[in-house]
Amino acid sequence: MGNFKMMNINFSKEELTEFKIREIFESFHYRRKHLNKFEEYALYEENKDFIATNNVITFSDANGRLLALKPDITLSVIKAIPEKPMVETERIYYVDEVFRFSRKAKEFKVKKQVGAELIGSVDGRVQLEIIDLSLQCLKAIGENYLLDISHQSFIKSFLGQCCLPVHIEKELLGYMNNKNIHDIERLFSRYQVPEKEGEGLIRLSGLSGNLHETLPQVKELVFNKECEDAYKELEMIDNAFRAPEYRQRLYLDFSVINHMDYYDGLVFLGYVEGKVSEVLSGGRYDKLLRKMNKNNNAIGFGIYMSNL
Amino acid sequence: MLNVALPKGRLGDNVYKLFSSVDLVEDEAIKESRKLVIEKGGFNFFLVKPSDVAIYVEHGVADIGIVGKDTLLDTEPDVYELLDLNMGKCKMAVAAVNGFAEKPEKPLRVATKYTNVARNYFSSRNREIELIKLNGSIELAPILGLSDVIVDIVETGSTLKENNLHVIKEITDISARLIANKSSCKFKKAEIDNLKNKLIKVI
Repeated sequence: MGNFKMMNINFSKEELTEFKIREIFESFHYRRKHLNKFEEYALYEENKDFIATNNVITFSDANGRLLALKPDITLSVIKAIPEKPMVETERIYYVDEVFRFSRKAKEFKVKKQVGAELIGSVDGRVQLEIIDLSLQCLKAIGENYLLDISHQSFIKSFLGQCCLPVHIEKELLGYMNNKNIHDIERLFSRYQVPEKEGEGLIRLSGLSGNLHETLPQVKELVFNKECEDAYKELEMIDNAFRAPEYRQRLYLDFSVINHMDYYDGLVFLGYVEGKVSEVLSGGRYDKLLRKMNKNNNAIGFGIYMSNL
Repeated sequence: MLNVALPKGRLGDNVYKLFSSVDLVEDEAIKESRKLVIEKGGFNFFLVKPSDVAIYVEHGVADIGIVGKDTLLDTEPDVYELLDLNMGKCKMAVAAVNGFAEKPEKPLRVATKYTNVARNYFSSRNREIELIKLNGSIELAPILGLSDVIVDIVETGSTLKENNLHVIKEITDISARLIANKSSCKFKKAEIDNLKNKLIKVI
């Protein structure tokens, strides 16, 4: 198929950025995947926590099946992958719209999202590719950018040490997410979390800075096998992106937390100067695959075009 | 240059004084000024309605802001909460007219400005409520029979006392917090860290 060249069209800045991002995906040999605009509602009902909303636009088809306009893309991507371990790692990207309820605006919004997913046997080395891809995309959005990286194994290990009831853990994660150390300290004294365990989590929550410079402090916090493995993954990233251009872009920040029931490894958020919130969000979601009976691993990210 | 959203009124004045006490700005009262934007010592101060501070910060117009925990609890903005400034201390509480006896067989009528806080608090106790959103003079509601109880902030309790009301349950402690836009924290990290470290020493 030949390339179709469009001339004399004034594309908006956002459209041009989208094309640049797609060009990057193609150059990394990611294949575009077309997805249906709607899915069976049951998919979202079963994974309510993952999409973090109860508000989904639903309708019935001619057979009475309850369908929904997609509030999320990752679930649709996973649904399409085989249950058995895949022999070859699949690299896909999408350009699609999601229909999300905005809690603030109290109405549904259509949001454009582009993203990439790497599915199959994912290891530390393959993960580097996704980090690289994220950095390239951020660079295409703006000159001054950075990627905040965190690892759920550290958060899970320290959280486990505190032995708190589930709903209190949720409250604690909210404080960690907002870098709110003072309320973490209050929560610990309210629930009599032993000083030693509490102190570890507070140190972890306060850690943020350039990845290369912060790693020695992370090493000091390693206390179990999970943390050790996680540390190795972080170290691998630091070693792989040694060039000064990238070293100054990679940050470590344990306030980056994604849903603990679905994400279980690396998680990251991308920021570009001048954009008020994160523009890119991603992570390793093997746990979600297990929940959906898929015997594979996956890592991916999405870029919210409406935040650009 | 850091853009700072300050709440208009007493809290804003006190925060400005706090800034001047650590030599971030000159000690000069901003009370008299009617300007809404004041440029001083490397800061752009915006004087906004207390309940709007977090909106300015979340949208990145202001890099940082000072806001009461009451507003943060009620609006749950997506911002970093960097410090408890230990100022403007009070309590969020449930209050009722003296002698009030709750009827457990009926939904509790709750008048409040803080609908989210009230909803979360009573739902965590599995208590069905009927919410009545008010914007001011909340204490009037139970006196006139508009509601059974109110959820509001209580400083000294004297307003309650004067109106024959009393606290029946404290929900949480409230104080002023330093908040920051998440993206600003990345690209103005050094400036924000510097400000935070100076303030830590005096709070």
